[in-house]
Amino acid sequence: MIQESPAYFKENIKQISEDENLRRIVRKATSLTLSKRSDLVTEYYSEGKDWEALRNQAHEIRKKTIDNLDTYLTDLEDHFERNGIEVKHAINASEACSFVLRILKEHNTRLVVKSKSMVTEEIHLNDKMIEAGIEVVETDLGEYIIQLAGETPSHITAPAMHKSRDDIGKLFSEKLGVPFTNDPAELTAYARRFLREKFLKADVGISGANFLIAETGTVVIIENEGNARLSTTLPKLHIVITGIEKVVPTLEETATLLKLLPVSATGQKATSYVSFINSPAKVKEDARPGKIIVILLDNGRKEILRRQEVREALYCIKCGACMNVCPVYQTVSGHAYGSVYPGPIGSILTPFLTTLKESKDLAYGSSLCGACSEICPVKIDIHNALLWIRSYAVQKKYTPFIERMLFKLWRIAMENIFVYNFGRSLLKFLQPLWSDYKDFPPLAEKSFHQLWKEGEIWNKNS
Amino acid sequence: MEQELLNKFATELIRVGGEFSLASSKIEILKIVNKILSQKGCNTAVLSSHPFFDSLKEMGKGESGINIFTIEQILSLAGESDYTNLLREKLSQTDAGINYAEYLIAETGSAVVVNTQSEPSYLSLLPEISIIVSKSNRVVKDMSEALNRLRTENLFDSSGCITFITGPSRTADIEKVLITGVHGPKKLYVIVINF
Ligand code: SF4
Repeated sequence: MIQESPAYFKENIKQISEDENLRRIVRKATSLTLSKRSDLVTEYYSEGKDWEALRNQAHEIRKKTIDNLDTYLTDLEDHFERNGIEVKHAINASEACSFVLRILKEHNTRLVVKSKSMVTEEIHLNDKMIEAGIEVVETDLGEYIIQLAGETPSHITAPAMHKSRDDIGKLFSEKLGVPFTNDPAELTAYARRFLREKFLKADVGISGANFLIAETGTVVIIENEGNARLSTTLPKLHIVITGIEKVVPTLEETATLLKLLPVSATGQKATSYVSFINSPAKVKEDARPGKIIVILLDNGRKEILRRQEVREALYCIKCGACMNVCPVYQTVSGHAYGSVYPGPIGSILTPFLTTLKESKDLAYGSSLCGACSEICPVKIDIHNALLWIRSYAVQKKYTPFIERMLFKLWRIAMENIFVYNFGRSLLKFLQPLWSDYKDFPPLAEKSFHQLWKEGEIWNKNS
Repeated sequence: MEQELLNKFATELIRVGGEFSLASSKIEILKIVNKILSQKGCNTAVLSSHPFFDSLKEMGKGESGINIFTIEQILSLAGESDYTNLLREKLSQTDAGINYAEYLIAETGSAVVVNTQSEPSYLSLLPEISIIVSKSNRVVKDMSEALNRLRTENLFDSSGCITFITGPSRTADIEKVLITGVHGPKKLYVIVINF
């Protein structure tokens, strides 16, 4: 069993490493998305445009926003109110969930349709609603699949990336009672039929948000399927749950981020739908929800804000590109991380959503190759933040005792040539114990130090 | 310039699986719509009540045996009963929805639909076929320009909800295989009238 906790990262990896099928599916999916992305970036340059400049611009926008988050949040809230959108602030997951439950109760809710939202995964909202006796239906196809399977998303933009078409075919025939098929088109048609019925009956729609525009008081939602549009227009009440970092100062700046996000996320210039929601319906002829409530969630984000070393993690626009490009993610896939947010960015966010003590191993699940920072559309210095988390974990003495001792010895050896040489002479015996999985090349007969002393280096060079 | 933008728009639209046609007059729009509807074996369509369509209200009636309702008609049909329910019901049973786009975006092949009473959001969403009509002088360069124009023409702040539509509804959630028509339209047609 894969454990849903970052504390089990290593154990999870061990288990997953045996599943070759999973690795094959995830590699195929990530590399396909990456190649679509890079084709578009190449095209972008060929049209005389500068992708790198766009990334720099986006970085500056995000930096300005996060550095002045309070100001923009106040601005946002003023404009939401002007537009008739209610705003609530939730400090943590349990507060956010109880807000939602209270609202649902007030509105006598029986059926909730949800469009994909990582923040609701973060606060485990579905469990709470189901406990309260409310029927909850995920409507994004990927999310619907994993809801039927009773699992969690394994990727932030492609939640069912880890499932094969056979897996899904079996799941549908088991849970929906339809004849088995592994044809993606037929499976999608089944989902369309089942979910359409739910959409038409739903009392409340719950969504996340990609951006919140401060100057206009707008909720922006990006999607391909149309399920977010249905969830946010058919029911009488729309609840938006999102993180405080999603604010963008202006419409113009939103346009910049809108150019980067779909290219990085799915290799599309634009997703099928981008919705700009400004206000609830004012008259019944508007045929949209008469009420919109936005819940702005902190849940550890302000703590990230206070930590200069990792603050950039709040710039994240949740495109998932750093996951696709990460050699570790490609190999271990999302569930191994035991966190809602897997991959490189998840390894920075998770310690603040849980505790550093239980999630410190995640930061070590990186080769520090920097591919994540290189691809990130908002240029977050991801790998250096991971490095900082490692050093912070050491400082806090969260690493195993034996490891700390070994590094102490290492330091002594590195500072003293005699100890070093002695240590080296032991290496011959220690090397075979080093790893179960790697064959090391044999050690050289003589050390560099010895060769130098004997003048051989000098002779070779002259 | 306008021609260039229009060409770019058409290329990008086709790339995302949409279909493009050019009409030289409002009457020709009618013809194209009728052709699409009869080709697709459609029996019913709902037309937006955007002022652009005012002169076309009686469009196509009798000509191809297709029933075209307007949003206004559905509204008056509802009378005292629940309009939203009736609208959903009608749109769920309708084969095609016909919308007006305020702008077309060349860079991405997107249509900008401002959802209002005369053009409710699910008109472009519930039917399996979505037909969007716009004018050739409404093609803008990119999303920034579209958003700017929406603001200066006072369409952004005055509307409850605006949607950028780029191609049909799609998913790649099953092994990255692209499928269209997952929750919204399977087919998207954009008709541009030369202005
Ligand atoms: S950190 Fe950057 S690359 Fe990773 S999900 Fe966030 S925005 Fe995308």
